[in-house]
Amino acid sequence: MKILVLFLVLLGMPARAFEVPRSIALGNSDFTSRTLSYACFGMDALIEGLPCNPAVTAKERRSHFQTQFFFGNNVSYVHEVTKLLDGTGDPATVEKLFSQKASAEAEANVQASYLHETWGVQFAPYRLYYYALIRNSALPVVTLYAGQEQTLSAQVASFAGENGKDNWFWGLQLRGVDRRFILSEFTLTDALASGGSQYFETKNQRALYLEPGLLYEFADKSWRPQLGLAIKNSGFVDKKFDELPASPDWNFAGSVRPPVAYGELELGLNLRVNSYTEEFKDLPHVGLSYKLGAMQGLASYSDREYSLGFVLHYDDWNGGLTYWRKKYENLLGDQDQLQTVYLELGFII
Amino acid sequence: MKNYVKWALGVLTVLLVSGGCQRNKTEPVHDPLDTNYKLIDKGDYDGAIRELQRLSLADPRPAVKVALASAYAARGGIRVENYWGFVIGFDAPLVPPDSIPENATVESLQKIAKQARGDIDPRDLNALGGIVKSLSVWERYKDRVDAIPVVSGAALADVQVAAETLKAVQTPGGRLYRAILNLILFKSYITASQALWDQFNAVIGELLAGHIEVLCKFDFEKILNWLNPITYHLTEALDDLIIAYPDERKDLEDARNLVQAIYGITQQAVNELRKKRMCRS
Repeated sequence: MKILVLFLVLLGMPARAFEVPRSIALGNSDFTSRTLSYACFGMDALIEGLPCNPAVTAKERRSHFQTQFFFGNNVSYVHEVTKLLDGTGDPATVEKLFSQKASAEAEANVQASYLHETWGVQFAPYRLYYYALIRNSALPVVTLYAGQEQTLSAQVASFAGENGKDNWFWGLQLRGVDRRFILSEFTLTDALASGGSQYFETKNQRALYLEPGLLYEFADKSWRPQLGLAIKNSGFVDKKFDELPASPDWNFAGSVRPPVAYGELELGLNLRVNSYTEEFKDLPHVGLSYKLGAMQGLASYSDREYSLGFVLHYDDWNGGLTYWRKKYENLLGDQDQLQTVYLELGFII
Repeated sequence: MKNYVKWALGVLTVLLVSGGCQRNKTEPVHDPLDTNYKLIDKGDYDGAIRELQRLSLADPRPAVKVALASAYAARGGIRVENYWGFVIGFDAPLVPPDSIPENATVESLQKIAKQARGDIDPRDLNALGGIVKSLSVWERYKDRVDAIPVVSGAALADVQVAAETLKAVQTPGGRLYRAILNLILFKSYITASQALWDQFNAVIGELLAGHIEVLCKFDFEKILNWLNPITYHLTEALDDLIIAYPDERKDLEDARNLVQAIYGITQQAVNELRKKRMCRS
């Protein structure tokens, strides 16, 4: 307990800076993250890839290989983002960029993972993201953050209890990320005039994250409650960029699995603390997973975002659809919102 | 069990420290330009102009002048949708002298020149030839700026102030914006003189009908007055484009020189016709 208090004291709550939204800069582009949000850190429900909390990996009993393709409804931007990152952008690319009216975001991700009892690995060779904020109707100014990531993650986990009495689980995730991105601000005429290509120069950042997790399960209780802690985005970067968030997230999470007549129900709660947290209402995220036969319904809610979706498992295939909406403070300090429909397709061997 | 927990918490503590060593956040520096962009987007152009004028006294960034110019342009009704079609398909408006386009007016004047051969003083023919050449070039520019809007009255004054605000800005993007504004002014002056243009075409019609004496009645000086602001804004636009596209400098300078030369030819032609030697009788 003292250690936890120490965590909170050391963490502190420095002043908030205007940065690229964390969900894009540091978030995962996968179905679990979008449907259960941060509540996934305390939940066993796992749709794809590695568990949010690496300690949950110790509970996995079934070895499997899984691939997933995840994308949102702004996937049409993928082509433009790829061209910008490859340096093959042209006036048509700029046209697409400036044809938006307000803020826009897009994400796409391909990943493959192998999960075994007590360990797992995951490789995401292609995560693409895009965020743009446009203002000034007389001469549009855009703040653009677009990039591509490759991520290699490995998790190890185990029981911490002796003879299975205490039901303690621990896990550690090592995650290496290679980011190539564009982060710039310019006007329409800046982009079209001579030297406009300077605004599309790509930057690189390599990051190594060490992300530990703990979980305690009260297995003898009928609702099988569990409590845990997972630290996300704690690590090192080779270059720091003021506009990119770099501080870790602390996820104090738990879940219960009330017995139901049909299917499996899990309710999760996560208190997420980071240096951006300003008010208590920003902390809690609740999540719900209900699995009945081949169908799994998922939902999450917090003060600033909510999502609702489902996954269908058929044979070794799965496909999911979710609606996600988020309110946030944009780079101008204004309240803004993003809403996206995400689709995921994958198979398990 | 306790050993495991201690070990795990030890790892967490180390990680905590590594997390705590992340960069120190500073208070957000909110660019005051963003506040003024918001005013523009809300339609409070006067407020944006007032604030940006004040800001420009303390903040030497070219972006401040560009924002101020955009606020004036916005008050003049110029928003991106008005020039989007022009700027996206933008190509430096070069004027290859060997490809002067034929058009109705030019053809008409050429016919007159042929018909009148022998009836008109050769110097007047040369003058007419000069006007033929000039008009063909002006019309070529007129065709190229069809995709940009026209302003008049107070809006025209605002766009003029916007263009003047950007005169000292040396960034390629800022000057490309100024080129657009100058071309808007160029087109606006052409459009504003539609009546003169119609009058001129009527004179051409009379000439075609064989009424050479109409040359004595038409005030060609009006043409010169009309060409003054048009030439100015076109020359300024080309100067802007030289900064916006330095790689095209030579071609753009040639185009600018051609514009000025043609203006000179027009001046000479008007002076010749003003003398109206053949009308003295």
